[in-house]
Amino acid sequence: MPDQTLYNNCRSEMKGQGNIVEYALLVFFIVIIIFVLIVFITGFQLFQIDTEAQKQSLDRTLSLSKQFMVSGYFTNKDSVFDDAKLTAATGLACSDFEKTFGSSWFLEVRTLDNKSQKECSMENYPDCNYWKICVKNNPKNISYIFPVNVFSKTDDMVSLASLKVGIYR
Amino acid sequence: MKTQLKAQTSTLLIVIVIIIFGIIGIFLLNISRQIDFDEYTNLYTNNLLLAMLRTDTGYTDSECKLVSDLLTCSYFTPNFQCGGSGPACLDLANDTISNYMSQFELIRKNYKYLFAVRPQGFISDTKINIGDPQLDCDPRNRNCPRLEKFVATESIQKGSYVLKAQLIIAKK
Repeated sequence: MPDQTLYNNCRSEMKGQGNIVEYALLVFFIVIIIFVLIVFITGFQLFQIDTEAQKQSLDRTLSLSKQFMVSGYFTNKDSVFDDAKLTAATGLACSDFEKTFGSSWFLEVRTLDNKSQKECSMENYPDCNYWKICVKNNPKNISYIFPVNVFSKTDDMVSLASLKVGIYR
Repeated sequence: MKTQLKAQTSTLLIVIVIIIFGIIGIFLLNISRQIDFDEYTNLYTNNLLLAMLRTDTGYTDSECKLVSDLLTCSYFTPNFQCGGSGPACLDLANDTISNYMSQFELIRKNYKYLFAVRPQGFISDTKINIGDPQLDCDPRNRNCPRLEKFVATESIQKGSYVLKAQLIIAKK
């Protein structure tokens, strides 16, 4: 009879230990799942922030492109850039445009004349076909390209050109 | 009691798994949601058409000076020779527009295009199509490929006649 009592006591103790281990395992897995969830949600938030930032940058680039295409600083009429105005603008500092267009942007115009690219300045105008304004040596940028025209005062001709507008990140 | 606890644990696990799947779903949906470039493509198409029409062809006669003049000439007098003994208007329009379109990398690599000239406000059977004629097909037609098209339209006036110049681009 005492043996039976001992057996029963031992059995209930084992059962108790088993339950503790079971609960410990359950808590352990729940903690892991919560941790994974936290990592997952943080990653998701970061991804959303990055996407939104990219969207904002693209929106600003598009808005700047529209501004440049009608700006009296560079154009004669909508999307027709004036080569003389562009050349004059290349001689100005970026800070001169900041009040109108903000900072961290760049603009490039290239006439599509099948000739090799020749950058324009006050010295070589009009024997050139490429204008760059506020271009920095910064590879971290996003840009859009648009078809536009360039009016050459000296030839009295309108040429096809491409306008590249971008912002630095 | 033990069976009841086990059942509760299983239910809890199932709920957690469902939550995880829900989050994965939202995450994947967000990844697949791409930034919308339609506004850019629309602006690009409109600018391309306008820039093409305004560009000088290199000829000085009034029928062939600008691409828009060339298209009007191609529509009404396709055999008119630019520069006196140069190419016919229609041939020159075909070559010039194809050449200009190929200068744009975005179009050359990713898009097919159709440059179409149609009468506006008067009846005529004459149509000018430069590029891929499939882009002009009726969408109700079963053989017409379902493509997302971007269309830009401009009017060209010649005397009392008005022509409708249309540029249609669609992904290759």
